[in-house]
Amino acid sequence: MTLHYKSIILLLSITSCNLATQSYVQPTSNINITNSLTNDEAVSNMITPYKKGMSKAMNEVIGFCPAFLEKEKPSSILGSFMAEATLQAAASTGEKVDFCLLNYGGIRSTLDSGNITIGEVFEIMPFENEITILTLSKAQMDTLYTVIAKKGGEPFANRNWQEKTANHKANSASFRLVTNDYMANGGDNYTILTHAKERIDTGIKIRDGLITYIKAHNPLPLIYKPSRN
Amino acid sequence: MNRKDFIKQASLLAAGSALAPLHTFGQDRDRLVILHTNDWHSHIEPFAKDHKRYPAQGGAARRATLVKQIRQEYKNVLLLDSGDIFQGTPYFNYYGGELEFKLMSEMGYDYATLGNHDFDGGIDGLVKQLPHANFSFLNANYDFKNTKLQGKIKPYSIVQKGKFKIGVFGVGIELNGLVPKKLFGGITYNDPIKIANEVAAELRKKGCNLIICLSHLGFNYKSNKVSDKVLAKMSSNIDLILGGHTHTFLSSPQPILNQNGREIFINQTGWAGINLGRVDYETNNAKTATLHGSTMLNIS
Repeated sequence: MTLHYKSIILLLSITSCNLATQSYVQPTSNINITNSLTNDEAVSNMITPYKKGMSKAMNEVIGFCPAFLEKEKPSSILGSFMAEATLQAAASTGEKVDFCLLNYGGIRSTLDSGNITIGEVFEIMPFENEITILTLSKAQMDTLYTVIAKKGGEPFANRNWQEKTANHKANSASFRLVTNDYMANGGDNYTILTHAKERIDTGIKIRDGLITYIKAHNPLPLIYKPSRN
Repeated sequence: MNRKDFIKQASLLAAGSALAPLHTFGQDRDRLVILHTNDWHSHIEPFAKDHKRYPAQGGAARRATLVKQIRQEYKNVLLLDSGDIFQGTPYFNYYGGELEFKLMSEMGYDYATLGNHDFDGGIDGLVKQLPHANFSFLNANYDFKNTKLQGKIKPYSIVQKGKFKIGVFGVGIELNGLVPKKLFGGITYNDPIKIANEVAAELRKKGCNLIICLSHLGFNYKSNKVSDKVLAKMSSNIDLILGGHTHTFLSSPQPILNQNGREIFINQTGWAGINLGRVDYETNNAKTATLHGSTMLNIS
């Protein structure tokens, strides 16, 4: 009844307005029709071989993890492993690197004890983020310290950062930080990293760094590094 | 049966708003059903049943069923995508987007535009997958000159469906700063508003009674950054913008007054193939088409 009444009003309004310049339909409200849709057979059949092929790739065992690993603050074995693997991948380019900082939020899953599959690495690191090397001043380093502390710790690994901080108190000292491009772009409020003196985008995916490390370290060494030093 | 169904549909569509039954306009009135997606990001399979936000939603095989059902019901159907087809599940990591394009071809997509993530495999990665797409990619504001995409992406296309002469074109977001340079190197970004107005004017001149812009600019920003809303306000010949990039879940096409004070619409379906947007137009002449109604169809 209501609809009928409105239709009449509508008809009147249509006759009096120019269709070319005015839409006569009010934008409709959301009709979220819940269809109990079945799968289209042709499309399902197309997906099957790809899914199978991927399952095979995803189930490939690349290493062994001796314990169940979970991300924690201020630091965790899982975070330390990811930072160490990323640091090593960055070092493999021949660039000089001092330490690696990743973001806690970037660890997306847990690592179960037992065989490590490619699929699990995708779960820990589903993003396509790439490894970036930044050059930071001593002053920027100090600011970064504060940011990390405020966040309650982040995944971290180092080479010769401690001795450098001990030996080079002068502000002229510079440090090479390995991180992901997301943080280097200021993600997770790391605005400080956007002011780096130099930036090298390695083009190496973090995930590929993890895979390389797991393959080279079998079983996975369980190293816990405190978040700062 | 058709008419009865239509009235049922119309009352559903109307949901309390004004909507006139078809027969009041006579038999010569023609209907176009536009179906669209954006940012489906390689979500070939539905989300897991225990997914916190979108349990068991999405999935290409069910989208295909829905598209087929609508095609059985209506003669004039367009199926469009606003970009970011790639990246988001291991399907992309493993197969580089091959399956995404094959499935869209099977579903009968007519046109798509390019999103920033469609360059995640580089220009080479995209060029490699293009043979798997039997539909056309449209973009008018990227200059592909001297890249491997030169000649492979058209700025616009015109398609006739019943009484509708539809002009479709695409606009993309600034890639610099969003996509690593080595992946899109050589592509020049041009002002989407200027280009969109030029292309839309040309399409109108060519006699299109419905002009659709496939956009990957994003729905709206807090800053002055160009978006679908900005484009809509500054446009004069576009009738409908089907957007993407911001993963905005709109329940219905948003009306915006263009620079001539004419109401045009923007729609976006969210992301991950969770929804299929549907926007219906009607016309009874060669010059104009009017929005008839819309639904946001949840794939579940």
